[in-house]
Amino acid sequence: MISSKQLILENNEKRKLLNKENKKYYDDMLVYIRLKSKASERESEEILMELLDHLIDGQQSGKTAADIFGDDPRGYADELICELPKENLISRLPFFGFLAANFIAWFLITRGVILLILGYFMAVNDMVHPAAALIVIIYWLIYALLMVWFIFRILEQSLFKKKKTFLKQMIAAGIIVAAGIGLGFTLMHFLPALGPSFSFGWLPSLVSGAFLWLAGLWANKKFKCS
Amino acid sequence: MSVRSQLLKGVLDGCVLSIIERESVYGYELSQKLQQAGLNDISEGTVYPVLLRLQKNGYIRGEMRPSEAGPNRKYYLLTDDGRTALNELALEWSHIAGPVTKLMQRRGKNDQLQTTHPGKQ
Repeated sequence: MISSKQLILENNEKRKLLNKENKKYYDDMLVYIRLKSKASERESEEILMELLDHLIDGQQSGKTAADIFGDDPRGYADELICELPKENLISRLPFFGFLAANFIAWFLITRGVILLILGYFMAVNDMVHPAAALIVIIYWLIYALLMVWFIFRILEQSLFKKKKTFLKQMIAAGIIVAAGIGLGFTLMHFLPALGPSFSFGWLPSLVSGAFLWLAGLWANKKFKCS
Repeated sequence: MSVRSQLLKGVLDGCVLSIIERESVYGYELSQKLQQAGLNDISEGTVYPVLLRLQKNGYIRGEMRPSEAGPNRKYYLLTDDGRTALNELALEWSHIAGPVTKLMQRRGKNDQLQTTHPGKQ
């Protein structure tokens, strides 16, 4: 059985066979379905490959994408998404767990590196307050999720349009991303030292981060969460 | 949507199942066969939502294999559930198609509708 990764690679190659008009139509539909489909990656990629094969065959007999799939690509894509089986939330949980573990791992690694470098220049405070740290981590997790959702939305809105309004949206996105980061650092700076604390230097931070990252990598390979 | 394609939408599932019952086909072939059967008013892309729905219901299943032209295609095969569903659909259709055809053909022919009606003249 072909994996979804192979299907994606094959799709990338075959898309080059499309002419400009058909490619535009298909590309928008591809991004839209990949963004909005609640089905497994494999099922989404399979139908995308079928549509592409059909379009390439049709192109050879002089048909356009609109001849084959209709004049309303968004409506057609919605119809397909509606008929695709929906993956339940529980089967997606490992994926989100993997993302969260990866996120925390990189947080710890970055913290370790920053403490190590700063330590050469000044006395650094490596005390950790677990309660306060939890609040900060939850903030960044929510921030990351919101950003993913936000970027998906911008992408979605940019599809199926004759004229691209990408620049304006990118500027708006930049402002919101920066505001979120600013708020996060403000939170970290002003958050009172809640509850008990312990020393957590650069080495344990780096080692625990690296360990978590490797564990995530191993789990991903073993259970194929993503 | 034209009246014709609206009418067709409801019976398309049965048409697709009956084609797949004869031989396994992939999407492009299926759309060609529907057109060859005379259903050339529907756009080719219409088959894919139908195929997904039938697959989700377990009436058909997909299988990757090399096509006659060479490259791999997803061929659809009828399942046992699909055969049962098709038998039921065909039976229902035969109950509807005959009377509807008669009613439609009777139009304009002397309005026989009233004579068959037992109501008062």
